[in-house]
Amino acid sequence: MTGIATEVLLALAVAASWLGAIAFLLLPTPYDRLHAASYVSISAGFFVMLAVVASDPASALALKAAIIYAALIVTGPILTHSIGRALRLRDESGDEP
Amino acid sequence: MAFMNAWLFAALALLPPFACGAFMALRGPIAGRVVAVQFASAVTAFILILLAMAVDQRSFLDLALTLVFVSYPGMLIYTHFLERWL
Repeated sequence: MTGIATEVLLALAVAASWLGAIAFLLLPTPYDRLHAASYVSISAGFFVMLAVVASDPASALALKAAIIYAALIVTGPILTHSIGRALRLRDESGDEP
Repeated sequence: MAFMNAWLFAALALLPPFACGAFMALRGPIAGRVVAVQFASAVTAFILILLAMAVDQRSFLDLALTLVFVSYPGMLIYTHFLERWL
């Protein structure tokens, strides 16, 4: 039962990554692509973390996976805001290479 | 194919999304590249986690942990340069 749950969670993680990658390719502007990058780090990371926890619960491995996901959740929005701010400042200055 | 397990399949399945991010990071204007680098670094962290589970080397998970914590200040410095000098 644990194996099936792990495989389903891994399939969901792969599906989320592919969906984000397709969106990343299709969305036209860097601002739009920021949404795809954030989506992948949050949703696929959630399923990967759950798969690791389901595979080996109550272990140091599960704790590390949870720490990685927590770090992605904390740092992801900061990076997205920082990149968006940098892109807006570049657009306003009008010296895009 | 006895050495193939679900973790390895998932890690291999994440290679095309990573290649997508890497490809976008190599072409186009610099504004699009920095977003692609963030996308590719997130997918790389997932691939490292899955590979650690696939080969049953639990210490490899430290690579993913290190990547997440190192890419954060790296991207901040990158964006700082991006808005001023690049």
